[in-house]
Amino acid sequence: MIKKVRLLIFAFVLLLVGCQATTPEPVPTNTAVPSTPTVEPTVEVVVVVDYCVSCHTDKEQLIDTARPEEVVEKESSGVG
Amino acid sequence: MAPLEPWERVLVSQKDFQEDPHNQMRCDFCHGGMQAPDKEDAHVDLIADPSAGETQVCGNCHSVENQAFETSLHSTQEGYWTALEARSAPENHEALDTMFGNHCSSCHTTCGDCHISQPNSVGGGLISGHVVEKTPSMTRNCTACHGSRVGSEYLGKHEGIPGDVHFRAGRMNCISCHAGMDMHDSTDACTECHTDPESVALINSDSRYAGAQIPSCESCHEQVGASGDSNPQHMLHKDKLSCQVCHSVSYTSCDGCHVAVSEKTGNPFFETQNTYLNFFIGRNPDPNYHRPYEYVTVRHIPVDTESYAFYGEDLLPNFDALPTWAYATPHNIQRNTPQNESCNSCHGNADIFLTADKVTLEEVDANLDVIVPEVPASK
Repeated sequence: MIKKVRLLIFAFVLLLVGCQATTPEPVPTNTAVPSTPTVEPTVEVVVVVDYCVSCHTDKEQLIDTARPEEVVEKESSGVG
Repeated sequence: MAPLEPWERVLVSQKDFQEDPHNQMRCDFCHGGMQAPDKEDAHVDLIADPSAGETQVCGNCHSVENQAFETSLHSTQEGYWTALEARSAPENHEALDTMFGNHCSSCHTTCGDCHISQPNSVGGGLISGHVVEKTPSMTRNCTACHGSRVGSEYLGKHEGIPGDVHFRAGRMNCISCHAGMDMHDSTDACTECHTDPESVALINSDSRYAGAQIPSCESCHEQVGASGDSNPQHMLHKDKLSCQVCHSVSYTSCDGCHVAVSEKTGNPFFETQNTYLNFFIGRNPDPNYHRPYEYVTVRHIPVDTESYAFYGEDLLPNFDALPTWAYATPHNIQRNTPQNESCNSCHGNADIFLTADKVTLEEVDANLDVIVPEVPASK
């Protein structure tokens, strides 16, 4: 009886061994992997200055850059 | 109207203009020039009013309005030439063309003059920080040009004379009666439906008082003169008198406008000798389908035989071809007026009729069609 039990256990173990994966485990190698520098994602910010808008929305700048106006003598008279 | 400061004329409101669809285009799309921090560099080849001249960028999107506007009176000022050609002769047109360019053409209107800026004739300048206004400002656009007569009458600027009831009581602005299409298109809208030759001829007549009344008073006051009108005076007078004969009060007349170019500055200038208020009923010089009236209000216009003498001798040899007391539509309408108080306020009252004694001797021949030979008898 004991023999039969031992035989069954042996057969069971044999079965388990037979079913185990055959793929060999990867073996670490010393092959050099070309190192790539870590690239942080960047956003290129292009600042476009609209000179027309920046000047014409700036009251002080318009005052500073205004050309002195000629005082035109009024020569017309009466209702137009 | 006080002129704007130089900076004020070109200050763009970033907040307001940002919400304007026209802000989707870059400034230089319309105005040319170039992107540069220096003012002088930025303004090379600048187009101050892109809606003027040959550029006319507005037409890129607003082609219908732009096409119609090309022939409108606001653009062509054809009314001036109608009068100039009638009073002059072909050999004088060259001199008058120079005169026109120096003086009259300053009233030429562009899209921008009504929708973005004040007209140049009053110094120009952005109205709402470059926002393109669909409806022009009554005081800063319309009456900036039409101010000395229509504007002052309508707004009640003459002492002792109330403004027009449509303004005082109705708070109506110019656009309430003179709709956008009328501003852009003087005749085409009418001739789209009225295609028969007779109608087209009437609509395209050279005289502003020959074509359809746009607007007519009856457009709103439909009951006037219609069956069931409770006012018997309307029924009695509706085809004999223009509405203004009974419902307008004293308005502006002018005398003796002369134009010249200053020897001192080289700038064109004008002198108008007299401006005064009066009220006269004259004969309608050109009764027609749209204006069958026998009597209309007339005002003296400032032309005289020497108005353009600076540009040549005797440039108006046919001066008498048109009246100097011109059919007028004063813009100071009142429900109750001195002349509609009673029958005899008008009938038999020679003071309010343009009789020959009120016309200067040298202008009698020009005004034969409007002078009232006999005042209607009192009742």
